[in-house]
Amino acid sequence: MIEIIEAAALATVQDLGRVGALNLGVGLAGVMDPMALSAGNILLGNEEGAAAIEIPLFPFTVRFRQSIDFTVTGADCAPSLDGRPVQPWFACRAEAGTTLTLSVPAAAAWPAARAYLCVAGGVDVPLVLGSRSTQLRGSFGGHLGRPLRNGDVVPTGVAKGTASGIGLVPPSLDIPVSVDGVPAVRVLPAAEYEAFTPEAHQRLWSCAWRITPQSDRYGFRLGGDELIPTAPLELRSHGIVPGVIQVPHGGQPIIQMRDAQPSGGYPKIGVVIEADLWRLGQAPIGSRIRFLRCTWDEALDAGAANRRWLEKARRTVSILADRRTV
Amino acid sequence: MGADPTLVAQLSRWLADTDITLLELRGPAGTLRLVREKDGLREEALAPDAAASEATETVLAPFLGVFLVRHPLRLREAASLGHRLNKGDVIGFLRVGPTLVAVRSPCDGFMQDVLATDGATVGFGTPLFAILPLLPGVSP
Repeated sequence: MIEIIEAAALATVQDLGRVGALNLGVGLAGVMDPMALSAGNILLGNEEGAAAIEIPLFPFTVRFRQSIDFTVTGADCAPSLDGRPVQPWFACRAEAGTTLTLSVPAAAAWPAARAYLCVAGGVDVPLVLGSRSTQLRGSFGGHLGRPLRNGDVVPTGVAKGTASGIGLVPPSLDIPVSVDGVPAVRVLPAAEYEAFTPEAHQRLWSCAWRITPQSDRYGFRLGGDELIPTAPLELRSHGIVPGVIQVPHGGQPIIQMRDAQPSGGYPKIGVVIEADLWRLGQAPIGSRIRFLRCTWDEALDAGAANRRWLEKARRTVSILADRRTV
Repeated sequence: MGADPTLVAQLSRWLADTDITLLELRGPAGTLRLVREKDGLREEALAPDAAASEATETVLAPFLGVFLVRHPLRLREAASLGHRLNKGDVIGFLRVGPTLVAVRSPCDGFMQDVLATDGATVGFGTPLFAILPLLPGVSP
């Protein structure tokens, strides 16, 4: 059991998402950074999709009611256990009654927005439509279908193994993507790409887009050069997925994120590939991001590269864990 | 520290009234030790070099890996020179593929020296850090 002592707004229980329910009008939800979640679970011997707490705002403080292995991945928020620093992206042991505090992320080699508190055995809230993720729009899933509040007590599952004392290098540092020194995500042109002017195309690929403060789990509003279609476009609402880059009338793009509604009607100029959504999900407000045009095959290769990184992480963590118990 | 007879006599008188078995005074000129034995106090004066080599704890690489003085996410080293350390504090890292293992201080003390190059591949037993223990006789 984890007791929430101090939760800034919008901390939620999330897993890898509620896959396969878009036909019911139920969005994906799930962590904004699935690589950080899977890495944390690998460090703790959990299944890669075990649920954790996603923390977008700080400070955040919890008390562990029983002894448990945990790790804090994602943004480096200077975690400390009873006032003693613990390393980010490391499996650590917490004794019963100890308090974990996460602070506002400081300047880091990888500027990131969200931290993940993963525990051995995972956060054990009930499955709803096959997922433990909080569905904020529908107020179900996760912990009582809402963000965590002070005083909440969140149950944890049964630990399967541990790699306490071992850490991982964040994949953003291991498999980075950038253009001209600016963090980048790979993008495929989408259905209405050809309806935009050549100038809009050129701008899409060359602008360093700013993540505006109107950005959250539902979507990121970007600031930058205007993207104008050759003629006004009127579309009926249709199914959309996280990653879709829509361009409303103002010409400033919106990228749909994990809590996006499953339909929309704005023209779609592109889609951020699924394999790079974790990079975008960690982009702090005020930071800039570039779009890197890619092909279908390159998009699939990027997904395979993520899988390879996770498999290598699981293998090396288990080898080191074995050595330490000898 | 040339053994100033007045100072030694004063310290010896104070020690006689305590349970303290060893007093060590360190300075730039060397180290003075007063050791309580069955028949009274014995005085030891150590030259700076001898004192340093005897007093320093050398932290060795526990296995093969890439030596890092800072967490890959962090801009600052885990423990800078002169940093006050508690036993168990993380002072560096070994990287094996995507995996990190923390190197910890074996004792309370001060970070005296970094003995390996940041980013270099080091083998088992390579000296990584020299730690000046805070108290004499503290073992890893």
